[in-house]
Amino acid sequence: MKKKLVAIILVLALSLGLTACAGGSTTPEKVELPQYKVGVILYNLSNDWALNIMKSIEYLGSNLNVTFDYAVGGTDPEQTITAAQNFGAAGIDGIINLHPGMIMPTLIEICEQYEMYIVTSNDPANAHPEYGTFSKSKFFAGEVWEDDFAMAYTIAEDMIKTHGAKTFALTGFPFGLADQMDKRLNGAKKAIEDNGATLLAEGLSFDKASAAANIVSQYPDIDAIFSSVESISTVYQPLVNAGLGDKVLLNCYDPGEGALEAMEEGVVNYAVEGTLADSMIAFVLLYNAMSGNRMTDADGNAASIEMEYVLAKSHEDFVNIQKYITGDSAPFTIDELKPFIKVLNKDAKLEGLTEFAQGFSLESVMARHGG
Amino acid sequence: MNIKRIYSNIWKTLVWPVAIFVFFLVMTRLLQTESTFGSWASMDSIVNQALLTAMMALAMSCNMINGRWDFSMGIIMMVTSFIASPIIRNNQLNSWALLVLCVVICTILCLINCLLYLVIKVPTLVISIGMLLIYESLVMIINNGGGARLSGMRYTQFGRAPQIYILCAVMFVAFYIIYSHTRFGYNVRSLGNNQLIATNIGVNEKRNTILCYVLCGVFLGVASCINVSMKGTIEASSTFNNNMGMMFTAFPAVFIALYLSRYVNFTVGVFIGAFCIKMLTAGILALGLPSEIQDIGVGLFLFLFIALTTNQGRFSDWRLRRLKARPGSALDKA
Repeated sequence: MKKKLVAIILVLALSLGLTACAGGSTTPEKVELPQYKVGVILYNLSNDWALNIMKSIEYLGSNLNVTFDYAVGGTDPEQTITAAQNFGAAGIDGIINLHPGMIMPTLIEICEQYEMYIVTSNDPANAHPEYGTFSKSKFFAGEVWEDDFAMAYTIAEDMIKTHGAKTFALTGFPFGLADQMDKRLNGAKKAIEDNGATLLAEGLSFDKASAAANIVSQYPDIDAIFSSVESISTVYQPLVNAGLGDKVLLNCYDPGEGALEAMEEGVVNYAVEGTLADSMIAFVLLYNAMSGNRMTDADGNAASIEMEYVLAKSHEDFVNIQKYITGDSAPFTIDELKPFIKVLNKDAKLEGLTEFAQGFSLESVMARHGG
Repeated sequence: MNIKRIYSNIWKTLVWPVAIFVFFLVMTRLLQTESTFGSWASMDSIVNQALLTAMMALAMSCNMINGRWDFSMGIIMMVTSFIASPIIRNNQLNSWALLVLCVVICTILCLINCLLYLVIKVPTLVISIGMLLIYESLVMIINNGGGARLSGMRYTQFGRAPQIYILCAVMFVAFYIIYSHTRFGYNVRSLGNNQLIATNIGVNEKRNTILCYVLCGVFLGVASCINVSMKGTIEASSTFNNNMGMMFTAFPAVFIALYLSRYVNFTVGVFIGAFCIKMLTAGILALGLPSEIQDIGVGLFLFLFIALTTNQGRFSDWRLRRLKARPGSALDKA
């Protein structure tokens, strides 16, 4: 009997010890994640800009049981509206819209009709006169955006102050096509005006390559060309053909294939990247909304998070951007974003997410990911 | 043809390009813009661009003369360069191979349009819009939507002088001979003038249509080769690759050529038309006008050109009436 009692006491002690060990484990409680289907509206489905965004959000989706459908919004609002309606009819749970934010009221109406959530990324909707009304819609998950005017101003000003540029030309799509590109052109124009430089020509056309060739041929002594779009497929070749590759300053938005060589050759001097980072933050807002945890400010308005673009001014900067942001590793890991997802962390707050998103920079990503 | 008539025709042919050139040259000097409009380098660039537009215009002209409008020409050029570029790059071929490949692919694609037209018997305008949509989707699949990218002299010599000039000169001569001195060329014009009479006198319309599309494919292939050689990179997205814009620049060149064909050979007229359009675009940019006004300038020119050329009869009548009304004039006495 004594032996039996000792055995029982030992078994209990062992069991308690093991239970105590299990309690001290770092393994989190397993949460059953709901399944969602998200529709993504992009300008384009094939260039590097789009592919980087798709890669980043699919990385998050694969960790959170979310699948994606894609549609082209083009530069035509009608196409975006059609895409949203098609998503609604297909039973999509939420939309990430990377098309200009100024058609958001219509998109939100469609989302209310189909009871799906929407977040906008890349271009803000907050300048819309009806923003105060639609930002309270329970289907509007929020917006994540960059200040295109400010970034364009910074680039043009740096061309003047650092490199001594005195004469400029603008190139890109004509005004009125996309709000975001208009802001870039206006930002550059303002910097040129404020810093006493001269704008010689506006080569804004759908035929961007011919417009760039005309700028190069009509103004061979120009100091800088500001492009509101990707410039490798438009301005690069005319500059190189004219032998002006290393004489004329040039910037590039959403740099794709060929940009690394163009920066190394000194034909492109500024490269702007970062839209994929705000699409990841937008995904977090959408995910929270879809799971019934819409993030709002104190007045019930949808989240509006401003982020910074990443600007490469040298070949070395651009190599780091490709390595840490657009390359194999995403700018944010799933573990870095989990604290802001309510179903995984019930204490997640909009303020915390905003602070984290606003800390995004090349340096912060390199510091977080061992650069 | 007497010498006076020849001089008159030369004058009437060159009046538009000379007027545009002088206007912008004087304006840029008066306004003291920093542009170099009129310099050798600037005119060379304009001619290069005009050659590409002229190749497209020649490609579409035989079909246009016969009322076959095809809106898929621009996207066919893009599809061709997207298929040809990776083949050329991966096999390290050269510019000649690019040229041949572009011509072959474009001809096949144009023959598909032709076949649909002949089989379904639906207007080419409708067929071309359908094909345009199909090709726009296709460019997202070809090469994984990566567009076309070629760099280096090995691949892109037909985008640079003097190769582009030699190639285009050969193509102009070829078109001149085919259009002006072959039975096919006569048939194109007779069908364009009056289809019923032409078929009644024995012109085989179906065979002529097929040959028109073959010719279109060959010239479009050359245009596609020049385009990818000049630009180096072409994006897959239809929004960014400007396939419609390029085509709509080529249409006016054909209109101008059809008008000028009263005074000069149609082939020369196409080049002059393309040159006028490109010089106008470059000239407006050289004036430093805001972009909002630039398109108005091109639109106004086309409007003015079409208004003046289509109302020539009315101007002649008006002049005649004024002469008659003048006291003591020969016409008045008559």
